[in-house]
Amino acid sequence: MRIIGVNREPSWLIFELFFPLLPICAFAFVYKSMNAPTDYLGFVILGGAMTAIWMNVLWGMAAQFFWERESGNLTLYMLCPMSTMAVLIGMAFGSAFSTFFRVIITFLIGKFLFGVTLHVASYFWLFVTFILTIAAVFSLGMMMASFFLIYGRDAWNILTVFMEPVFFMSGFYFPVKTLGYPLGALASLIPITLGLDSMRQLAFALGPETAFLPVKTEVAILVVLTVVYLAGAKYLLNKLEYLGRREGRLTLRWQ
Amino acid sequence: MAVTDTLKRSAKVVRSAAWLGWQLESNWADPAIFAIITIIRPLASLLIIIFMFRFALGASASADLLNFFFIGNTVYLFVYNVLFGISQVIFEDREHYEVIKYIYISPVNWYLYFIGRGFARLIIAGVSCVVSIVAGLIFLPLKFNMTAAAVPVFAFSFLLGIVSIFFMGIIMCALTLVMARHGNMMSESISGIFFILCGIIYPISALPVWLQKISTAIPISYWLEISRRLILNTDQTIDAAWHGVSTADLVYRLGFSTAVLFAFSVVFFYYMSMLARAKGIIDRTTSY
Amino acid sequence: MAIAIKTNDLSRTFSDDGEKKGGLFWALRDVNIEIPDGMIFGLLGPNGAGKTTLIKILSTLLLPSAGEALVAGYNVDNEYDKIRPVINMVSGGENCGYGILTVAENLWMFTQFYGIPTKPAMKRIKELLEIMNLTEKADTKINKLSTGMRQKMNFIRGFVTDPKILFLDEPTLGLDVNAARETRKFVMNWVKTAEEPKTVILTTHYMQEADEMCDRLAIIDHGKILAEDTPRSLKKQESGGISYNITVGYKDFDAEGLRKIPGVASFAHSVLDEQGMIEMVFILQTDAALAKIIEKINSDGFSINNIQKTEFTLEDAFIKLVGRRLSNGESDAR
Ligand SMILES: Nc1ncnc2c1ncn2[C@@H]1O[C@H](COP(=O)(O)OP(=O)(O)O)[C@@H](O)[C@H]1O
Ligand SMILES: [Mg+2]
Repeated sequence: MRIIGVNREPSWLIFELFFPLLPICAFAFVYKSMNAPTDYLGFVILGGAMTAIWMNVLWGMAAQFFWERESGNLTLYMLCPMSTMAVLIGMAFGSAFSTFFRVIITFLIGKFLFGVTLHVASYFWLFVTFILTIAAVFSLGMMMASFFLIYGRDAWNILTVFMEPVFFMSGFYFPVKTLGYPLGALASLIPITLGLDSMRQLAFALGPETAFLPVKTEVAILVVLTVVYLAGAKYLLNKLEYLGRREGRLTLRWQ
Repeated sequence: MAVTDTLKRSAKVVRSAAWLGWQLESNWADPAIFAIITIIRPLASLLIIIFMFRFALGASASADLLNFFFIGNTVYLFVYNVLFGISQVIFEDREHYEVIKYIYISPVNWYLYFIGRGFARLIIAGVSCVVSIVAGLIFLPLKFNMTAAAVPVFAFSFLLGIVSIFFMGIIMCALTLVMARHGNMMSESISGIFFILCGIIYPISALPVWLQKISTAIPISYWLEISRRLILNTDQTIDAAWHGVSTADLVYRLGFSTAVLFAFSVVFFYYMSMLARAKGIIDRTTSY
Repeated sequence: MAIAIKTNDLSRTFSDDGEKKGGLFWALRDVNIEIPDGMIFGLLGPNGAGKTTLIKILSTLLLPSAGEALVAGYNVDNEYDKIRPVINMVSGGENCGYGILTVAENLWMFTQFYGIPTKPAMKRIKELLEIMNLTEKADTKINKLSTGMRQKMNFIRGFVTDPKILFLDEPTLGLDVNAARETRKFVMNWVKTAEEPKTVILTTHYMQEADEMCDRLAIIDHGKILAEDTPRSLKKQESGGISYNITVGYKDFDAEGLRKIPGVASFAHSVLDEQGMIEMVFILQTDAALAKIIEKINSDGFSINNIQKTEFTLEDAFIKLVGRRLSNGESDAR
């Protein structure tokens, strides 16, 4: 199990914490300039915090995979796909520290810079949706990490290209309900979407007004997503191991 | 004679570096991806804004606000692409292609090389800009009414804006040269900071007063406000931070700050590359 | 004959924050060399000796900490813009180049940095690709090339700008035997057949390469030049003795004890793992010392596997100067 993971240098940590805050602030100011209710600013803050976690998982895991490969460890892990998963989960815990910090800082900014106040309907369900969202995100992260390794830079490029559209759909900037039902349903495949929607319903006074689906339905869907992505990750890791054995390579060269 | 020779050689360096930049940007395994990135990105950012409007204001969004957003967002395509593109050059040449030391010991003027590499991004930004404008005119109730008389001033200030972005990119290259892998993160952070400060998708007057002071000292802010005023044919926009400042004044400020940036970027780049040479880190690749 | 390179008490330190705070590590210390035009000059030394550091300083990539270095008559500190047009450098064992450009495009790109017009540049690229047997790959993107071929391309890149002074830092590192031989031949030929004098500064830790290629040779270790001469006179000068190669068939044999035997001028040893043996190289002042060595080994309870009287090679000269072997299993005798 790997706990140290990606963040070895303190100065690196500062960038990691600092950078994701910028777009959050920018979009909070957009609502502010429209004289929108403070809760809308809160929506953006929450969306930004969750999106940052998500990005960290996705890119962090993929990047870690590359580093492991460079150092030759990957081939060792590949001998048993379950242990690869263990490595990835270990990494996830490794980044939990910075993730936690980031969430705290984001909320402090929300409170003191933008005057956001929470209005929690149920701490229990808020916690449940948070944990489930993280679980789904990690599963997808694992799947993506193996995807990158198999398809190399093209996969990476495709994902970079779709980053903005995904941000657009996931409800980082506005509640997913605004998209309308067909698009909203599509967006629900992104695990952060429904998680965010539930958490907004549970944490803000204006949340229930903007609900896409009832919280319990969303929780059920999140469970399903987690299972599906985990299965996908397992499948891809198996495939990776197969490729590694058959062709003696783990991916194309990264250039 | 010697002067024209130097100019010719410089033009050649810029041209070949631009060619290189273009190859690196566009030569992905699948050209479809390249096409998508120049189209999807600006469209997505446009959509985000439109839906934020829809959510917060419903049908009551004023045309002024919409125009403001749209112009800011479109001009920022240049800032993002060029600034971010140039500042990546050091990082790419050093970490990915491992050619930086061979370029460094060649007689090439590095400054010109960066400018050339930046041109590729300029073209991409241009395409994205056209896509964005076409989409905007089709789907949004935009009202542009730039007068013919304003065109030369607009073109001039646009040129100044682009040039100032190039200089800022070179300053970031200089920083990347002396930083390890943070260089990459840093340039993203800086473009994020500009996104917040320069009044791109909201007026600077929405910022706290102490931030407004910083915002109104950044050339990009002048550039955006000039573009808005000229395109919308007005003496002031919804951005109260600029009320009382004339357009001519803004153009002077932009010209002056671009000149300062130029001087600073030359000195700073020279100093940083010497520092990197002294410390022996020009070709240092990041090991994980 | 003009001087291509000259250094005066050239030193380079790195701050050594690994061990002691504020400590200095001397990568080069008071290096004085003078290299005339038109020759291949070798820098021979083990890993970490400071060869690359010296090359970096001379090729304007790194500033010296003290002393002075002149390349083509210009000071590397502040006249680098006069030096750069006439030099080039190649490091071996690298995977450099723009992956999505072809071999020819990569090479052309670099000629542009030197302001060479496209037509003569393409002509030269074509010729060099021909000589290095890479013509059929000219239009292949280099991310599709094997590591060896990429290295070949990088090698050609050094010559394509037709430098007066060329730095080759372990150019054959990682190449297979054939490619390495081709490369060596090419360099020697390039210097020999050039119309104007060409100077090559070559670093290597391969003895034979140094012996075969270099007109003059400097032996460098721990940042200091220990000797500098032609390979032939290095061998002659240092051969103040007879060289023996002895193999002992036990791993836990204490070889260091033999160093102190009177008459042993120099000594180095290395463990041959697969065979479970220790190979020792002795340079003896007299044959009489040999008897004492054999006696000591026997009295320690070990038996000798093999004894060979060897011809005095560059390697022996190196051992005598540095006190350890250059290649395989360096035992740090200091
Ligand atoms: N940038 C640097 N910072 C600290 N130490 C360095 C640096 N570059 C080289 N060194 C040290 O200087 C010594 C000489 O290195 P180098 O010139 O690369 O040796 P060689 O090429 O002969 O193998 C080595 O011990 C190396 O660790
Ligand atoms: Mg070296």
